[in-house]
Formats: sequence, C-alpha cells, structure tokens
Amino acid sequence: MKQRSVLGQLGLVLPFLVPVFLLSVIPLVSGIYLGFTDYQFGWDPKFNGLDNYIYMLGDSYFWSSFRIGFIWTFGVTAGQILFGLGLALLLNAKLRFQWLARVLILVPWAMPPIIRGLMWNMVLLPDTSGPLNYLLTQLGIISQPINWLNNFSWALPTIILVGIWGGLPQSSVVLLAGLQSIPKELYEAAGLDGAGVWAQFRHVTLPGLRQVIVAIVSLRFMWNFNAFGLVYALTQGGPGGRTRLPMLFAYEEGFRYGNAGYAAALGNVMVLVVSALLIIYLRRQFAEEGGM
Amino acid sequence: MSGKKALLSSVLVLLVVLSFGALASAEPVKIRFVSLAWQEQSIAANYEIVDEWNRLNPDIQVEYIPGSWDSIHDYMVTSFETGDVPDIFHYEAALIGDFARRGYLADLRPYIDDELWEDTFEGAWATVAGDNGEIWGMPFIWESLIILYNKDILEEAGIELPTTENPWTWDDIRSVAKELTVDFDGDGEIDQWGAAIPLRAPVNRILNLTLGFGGGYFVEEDGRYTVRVGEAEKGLLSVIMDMIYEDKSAYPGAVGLSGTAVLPAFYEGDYALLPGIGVWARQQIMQNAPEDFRWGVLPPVKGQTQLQGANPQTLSIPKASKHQAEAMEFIKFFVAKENVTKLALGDWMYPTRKSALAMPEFQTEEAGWKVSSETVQFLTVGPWHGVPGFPEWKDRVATPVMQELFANQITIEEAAQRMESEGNRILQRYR
Repeated sequence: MKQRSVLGQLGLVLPFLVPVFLLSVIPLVSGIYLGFTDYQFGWDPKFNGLDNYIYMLGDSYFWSSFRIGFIWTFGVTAGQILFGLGLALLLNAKLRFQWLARVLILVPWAMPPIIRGLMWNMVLLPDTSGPLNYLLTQLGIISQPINWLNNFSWALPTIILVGIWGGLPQSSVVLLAGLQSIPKELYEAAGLDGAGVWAQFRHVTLPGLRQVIVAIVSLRFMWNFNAFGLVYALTQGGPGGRTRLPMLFAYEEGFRYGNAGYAAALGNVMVLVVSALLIIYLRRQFAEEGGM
Repeated sequence: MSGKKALLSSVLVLLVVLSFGALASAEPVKIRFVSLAWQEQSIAANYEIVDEWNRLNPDIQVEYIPGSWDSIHDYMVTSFETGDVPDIFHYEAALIGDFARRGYLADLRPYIDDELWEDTFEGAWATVAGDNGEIWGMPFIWESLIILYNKDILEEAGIELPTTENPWTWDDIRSVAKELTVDFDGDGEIDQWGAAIPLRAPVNRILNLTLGFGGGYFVEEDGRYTVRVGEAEKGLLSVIMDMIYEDKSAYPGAVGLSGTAVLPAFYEGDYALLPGIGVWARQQIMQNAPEDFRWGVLPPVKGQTQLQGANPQTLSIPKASKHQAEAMEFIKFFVAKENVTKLALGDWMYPTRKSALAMPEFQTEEAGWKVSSETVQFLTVGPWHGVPGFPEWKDRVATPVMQELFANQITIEEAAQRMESEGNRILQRYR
C-alpha cells in the first residue's frame, strides 16, 4: 500500500520534473560546463580548466563591459526606485483622474523590450525629424540636434533614461501597493505629534515601505544587470562599445564570433557577481532589521 | 482495455506519420533561399527571378525568405548549430570565410562549369576561394569606391578632370580640395568644402582603399596572421587626417556621417568632391537630388596603384543542406547573364560576370556608369579575407580606434599601436 502511494506521488510529480529537467537543469549544467571548455562553434568542446577566466582577467573589453554594466544597473535601478516612489506617492494622493493615470502608467509594462527599443529609436532620431530633437531645438534648449544613440558621451545616459522609463510601471505599482498597506492611523498619530509632511514621509512612509523596497531593489537589480533586448534594439552595444553591457558582450562572443566557451564563462561570472552582490545587500538589510 | 486502446492509437499515429512521409517524397524538392535584398528595385528583381524559376521547374520549388543584413550573421550561426539551415543564403565574401573555417559550408567548385568559371572575374573568385581551391560562395554583384564631383563647382574653377588613363593621385586630390575650399562672405566660416569623406563606419572604406597604398593590415607567417599597421597603412590615414585637420579642406562633420548622410549637403553644393564613396550612392542621387543638380563620376584615386579591396555579395550553400545539387542549379539560374544584370541594376552595383558587365546598361555615359564600370579592373581580394578573428578585430578594435582617430582624439601612432596590440591579442584566440 505504502509503496503504491509513493509511486502515485511520483507519477504526479514526474510530468513537472521532466520538463524542468530537460529545459532548465540540463541547459544550466551544460552551460556551466561549457564555461570551462575552449568550445568554438564548428569544433568539439575540450576541457581547458580556468583558461577562459585567466583570459578574461586580461581582457580589457570584459572589464569595460562590466564597468558599463554597473553604471547601467545602478543608474537604472536607482532611477526606477526614486521615480517609481514619486509616481506611487502621486498615485496614492487623492487627485483627479487618478484612475486614468493609473492606467497610463502601466503602458510601458505592456510593451516587450524590443518594441520599447524600436519606439525610442524613432523618438531619438538624430536629426530634427526625431520628436525629442525637434522639441529641444524648438524650445531653444539645444542649438544643434544631438545624435543621442551614436554620440560617444550621450549614448549611455540616453539608454539609462530609456531603461528607467521601461521599468517604472512595475516599481511604482509594487510601491503603490506597499503605500496602501501602511495603516492610516500611523499618519494620524504622527500628525498629532506635530510631524510635518516630510517628517511623516521619513518616519512613517519609508519604514513602512522598507521591505517592499528591499524586494523591488533586489529584483530590479538582477533584471537590469541581465538586460538585453532594449539595449540591443537601441544601440547594439555601440557606438564603439560605449553601451556594451555584459549580456551584449557575451551574446557577441557567442553568436557573432562563435566563441561559445568564452561566452558561457562570461555567463558564469555574471551569475556569480550578481549573486554575490545580492547576498551582501540582503544580508545587510536583514541584519539592520534584526537590530531595530 | 486501456492497453488495447493505446496500441490502437499508436498504430493510428504511425499510419498518419507514414502517409505524410509518402506524400512528402512525391512532392517537389523545396529549396529555402534567404535573401538580403533591401532596395525596392532589387527585391522586385529577386522575386521575378524566383517566380520564373518556380514556373520553369515544377520539381524544384524555391521559397524566398527575406532576411536582414543586421541579423543574418546571428541567424546563420544559430541555423548551422541546430542543423536547421536554409539551402541557400545571401551574404558577403569577407564574412563567409569564417563560416567555411568552421566547416559549415559546402564547396561549390565541383558544380561550377567552365563557362561560368571563365565568365566570372578572377578578382571575384579570389574573394571566396579557400586554401585548397574550394569555392565557398557564388559572388554575384560587387561594388567599387569612386569619386563623385559637383560639375558646376569644378567647371567654374576650371579644374582639369582626371581620366581612367590619367587618374588623380591623393596629392592631386589634396591640392584640388584646398583650391575648392572657399569662405565666400569672409565671415571666417567656410561655405564650400573641397571634399567630404564620410567616416562613421570607416573600416571597410579604409581597408579597401589601403590596398592602393600597398598596405593590407594583415600579414601571414607560417599559417598565423598578425595585424600590421606600417607605413603604407599609415599613409592613407595621414592623407585623410591632413585634409580634415591641417589643410581644413575636408568637412570635419563628415567624420560622424554615413555615406548616405553626406549626400543632401552635396546636392546643396556644400562639397565639391566625395572621394572614396560607393557606386551605389548614384542611385540615391538619381532618386533624391534636385533636377538641376549636375554631377559626375571620376575614376578612383591612385596611391601607388588604383587597386581596391572587393567584397562581393555571395550566395552560399550550407553543408547541412539536403539538396545541394538542386540549390546549385538555382544559383546558376540566378547568376545567368540576364538575371544578374537585373540584380546589379537593382542595387546600382556591378555584376561579377564579364558578359553581363559588357551589356550596354553598364557602359552608358548616363549616371556615370561607364567610368564606374571601368573600375572593376582594379578590384581584388584584400589580405584580411579569411583571417580567423577578422570580424571581431573589425568591430571591437578597428572601428572604435579609427573613429577616435578621425575625431582627432588620438594620434596616428597611437591608433596604429592599438590596432596592432589589441588586434593580435584577439587573433591569438582563434585557430
């Protein structure tokens, strides 16, 4: 009897385990393994130990792509949280047309990254046929149209702004939910104690949102570090590699130059770096919480 | 009960599969053809050719699949690795060498008859040839870099024009450009530039022109390649730098512009010469320039020679294709004289077939065809063809370094040094 029920349970779990194993575990493990081989497309992979990682240490393109990756990740994540919080506060205030604003704010979320990229490509067209350049020249803010996506110094800030825009809905919706879960009584009590708007925000709203913020920062950090579609559609990593995020770098190595082993090694390093940073961040957050 | 049912259903499934198999073998051979044609005329020409083939060959049906230059490389790499390949794909000579090296491509040489072999320019075959005489793709159209000039400006200044027999050297270009750079109203700002050299994506243009200086950026020793930026390579770089920053006779803004983007101001009379621009640009002029704009084509500039690197567009067949012979039949039809003429005219480039280039369409004085077509004799293969790691060197090293050089942020010496040291580090990884 007992044996039968174990079998029966297995029978229930198996249909889920098989696809997980086939589609997640095998690719993951073989990806990790390939990171320790000299695999180039067209030849068989041969185990080469740490060679890929040693090459990486001296690879200036690797370092510059990680540097760009961090600027991008910190910039975009910070922007998404700050602007997201601002929007959430606005949406939480009792304003007119709130329902409309709440719908509009979701629009970028409904678009796949590639579509966002194509749309912004048009907004950012280099001459005055691009709406942004047209607007800014008409307003007299700039005298010459700027080639936003191809200018060595403008490209990275530009894609960071677009990146922030794309992730705003999610952070603001989550933060809004957090805001609404803070009991009104706390604000009343704080008000009675003489706390102004700013003091209420600092001592009631922020602590109340703390866990939500920690969660959304961690998630957005991971997603932003691994961003691909948006930047691929906007700049393909150009000009001259100024927007070549780690993910794009690995993609180029693999699909453009056929260095699959090295690309897999880059993937391994990316997973390690993101996990390490997240562990440090979450640990600190939880430690502080425990101390409170 | 349930066992019987299962048996029955599996027999049924088997029957269905088998009958599909039988149907498939009775069906005509299907050839999938990925084309990169993007100009309207050229897409029309492609469709016309495919339709006619399908009408004439009911047993071999070609499916036309539009692809894009931006994604073809990634698309083909994925196809090769999964084995789900198109039977024919359109690409360029400089980059199919990398596929061939990895063993992805079928050798077309056995399928090529004497007539086709003799009738195709040797320079074109050289760009697709492997080490042991393999042919990795059928070159079908190609282009050269020419000089476009504004007739009104040059006639007014009384400049004597070069001819195919007596072309300009780079020194001639420099002095003419200097003479034609004018500040009409004396406000300290130049109103008419002697030249504009678009350098936004500079590598192909620079490499192709460097051959005329006797350079080639890559040298082979004992089967290993190294990057070398010597006097010949620096020669061309310094002429261009001098024109932009020393003589101030070439419009500095063109450094950030593509070949298409310099054209509107050329129609306006802002530039007298466009040296080293692709022949395809004539199509844009015919389509977009004002009616009264007078322009012409001059023969290519002479360094030591007028040689230029060529990079024909090609059709290749993956080794994994199950219908190589049939695919090659279609390719032969595709490059037949009348068809390749249509294709070349559609893209405003030259056919690689001698008999087609001799057609009156390519020999007329109109739109500068005759002078342009005469440049085909100078087209040859650059030493970078087939260098393992060349694509990575081009994107990662040469493009940003040349962009920084032409923006005057680094010196020629620094540029040369970086292209060599960073390049050779990359080349070492490839076997």
